[in-house]
Amino acid sequence: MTSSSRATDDPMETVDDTATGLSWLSTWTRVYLAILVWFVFCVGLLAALSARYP
Amino acid sequence: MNLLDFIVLFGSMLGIGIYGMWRTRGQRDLSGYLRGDRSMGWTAIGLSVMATQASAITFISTPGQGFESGLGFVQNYFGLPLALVFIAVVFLPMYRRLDVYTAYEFLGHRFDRKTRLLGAVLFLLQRGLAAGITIYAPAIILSTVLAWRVDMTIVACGLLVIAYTVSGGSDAVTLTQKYQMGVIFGGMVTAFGVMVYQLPAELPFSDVLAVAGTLEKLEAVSFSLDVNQRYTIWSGLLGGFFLSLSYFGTDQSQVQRYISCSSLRESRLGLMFNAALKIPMQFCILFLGVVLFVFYQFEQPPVFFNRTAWEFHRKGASGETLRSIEQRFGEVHVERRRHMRTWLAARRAGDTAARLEARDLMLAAHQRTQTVRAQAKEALSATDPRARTNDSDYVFITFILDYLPHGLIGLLVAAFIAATLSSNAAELNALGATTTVDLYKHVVHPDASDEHYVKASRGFTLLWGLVALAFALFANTAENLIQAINIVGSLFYGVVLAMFLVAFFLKRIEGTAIFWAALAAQTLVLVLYSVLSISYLWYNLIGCVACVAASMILQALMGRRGPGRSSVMSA
Repeated sequence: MTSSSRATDDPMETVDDTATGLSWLSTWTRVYLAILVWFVFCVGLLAALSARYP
Repeated sequence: MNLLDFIVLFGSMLGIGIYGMWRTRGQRDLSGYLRGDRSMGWTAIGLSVMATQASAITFISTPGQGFESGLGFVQNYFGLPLALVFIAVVFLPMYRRLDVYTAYEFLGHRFDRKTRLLGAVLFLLQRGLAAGITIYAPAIILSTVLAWRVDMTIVACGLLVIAYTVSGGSDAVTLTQKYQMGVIFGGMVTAFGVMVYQLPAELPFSDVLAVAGTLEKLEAVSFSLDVNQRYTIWSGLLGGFFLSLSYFGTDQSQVQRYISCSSLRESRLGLMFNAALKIPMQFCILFLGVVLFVFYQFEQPPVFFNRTAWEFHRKGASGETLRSIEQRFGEVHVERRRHMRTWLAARRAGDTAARLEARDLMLAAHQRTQTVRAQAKEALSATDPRARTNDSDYVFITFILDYLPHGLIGLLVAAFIAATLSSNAAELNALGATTTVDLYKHVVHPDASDEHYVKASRGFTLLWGLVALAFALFANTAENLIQAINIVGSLFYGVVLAMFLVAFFLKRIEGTAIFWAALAAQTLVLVLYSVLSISYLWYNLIGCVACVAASMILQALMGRRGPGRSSVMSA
């Protein structure tokens, strides 16, 4: 397995580019996207709960 | 409460307070006192941000909201994760780059002195008021149900929080919040466990959901476009986004928490911790109220949950009316429980006809119990027009006192008081910091030593603590405590947020334009609040949009006078 790492002054910026297909995004962008996906999941789950028991 | 409860309560609260004072003794420089030694990791800061926002009202009133109105209140928090991501991207790097003590210092860098002072004064006004409510709200509930003297409860909580906040500053606040959150989570999980354990043995969890759903308690998301409806997905996303952006991004009580981190990375992770957990946490607290609602379908609830007020009037001139309502409520409750059991049995047997028939009977019986409860409130109001007829704040504490064993009652009361102390400590710390840095150091006494400013900070924190105590002692209760704080916040937050958004994104706008625009927009919001009855969350948006638009118009009318100070944005 080949991997390339790039280090910046922020330790979070040290990433394994082969780990995901999102290497073109910065690590922080990935963190924010993960939070937004989690948010959509939570809201979706609550909306599903409302629809299940109208 | 018995001796064991008091040992748990005093042991945990005094223990955490004294430990916080001891660990943070000897703060000498201003940075250490107001921002900690900047060694805090993201978990401590994440918990600190959470503890600052979640006051005792969150843990006492929110289960009551779940009991009364279901899960809809969770929508209020839908804008929060989006706002925290925005703050982590835009606000945080600027605060750290400029190495500020307060958020309003940034306004001074970007605009001018008067705009910085306006931001600081608007914060001091609304947070000074909220600090009093933070102590008062739980004290009035706890003293009512536990027969404590309300003034003594307020003074005891107030003096403890003042002692460790004045002594240890920001570090003491963050450290004590960590342990206080442990007590709070421990207490809430225990209460939920006991509640589930005491549900009828024949009631599986799917039936709990079925009962709650059929009685309209699981409607978490509403897509209604009615602006008068208090909680919808739209008011939650838009209004909640602006409220959260303003609260977390510009309210010093929050900014002071996350600028105490050791690095930008730790601060961001602390905020993301909250972005990920806040909606699930609020859901869990509301769901606890929904399960409590189902619990009281099978156990006899009081007709009015503020039993102290009910008992007082029951012994008075209207005693006979109240006793007859009480008896009627007992009868309709038994009838509802019987129909509910029939309905659940028909559901399990798969008998559709019997299920539908029993469901209608159950719903009709439920409606009758609601009618009798409404009659009880009307009778109470007729007896004493000043009596508060909203008893939802008393639902959870009534369950705790009636169904939890001794020791655990003390733990839950400790959890409520821990939540009061943790929020109030952050508020006092921020009020002291803003008064010292933005008013005293900036305007009154600019060239004193660090030691002098630490002493001044201690003095101002003490002063604000005493102001909050005085306000709490003389405050009158609002319609619903949790909403009162949010309403006060929403009236000011939109304008303050606009000042920051203009600072970040509209680099052509100068100090004078934003200053007068902020004053005009704040006046507009207060006038609209007195004439309209729309959901208070919308005032965040209205205040923000009005202030941004007014600043653009004013700047266009005045024209640019100089190169401005927006160079701080690229410093």
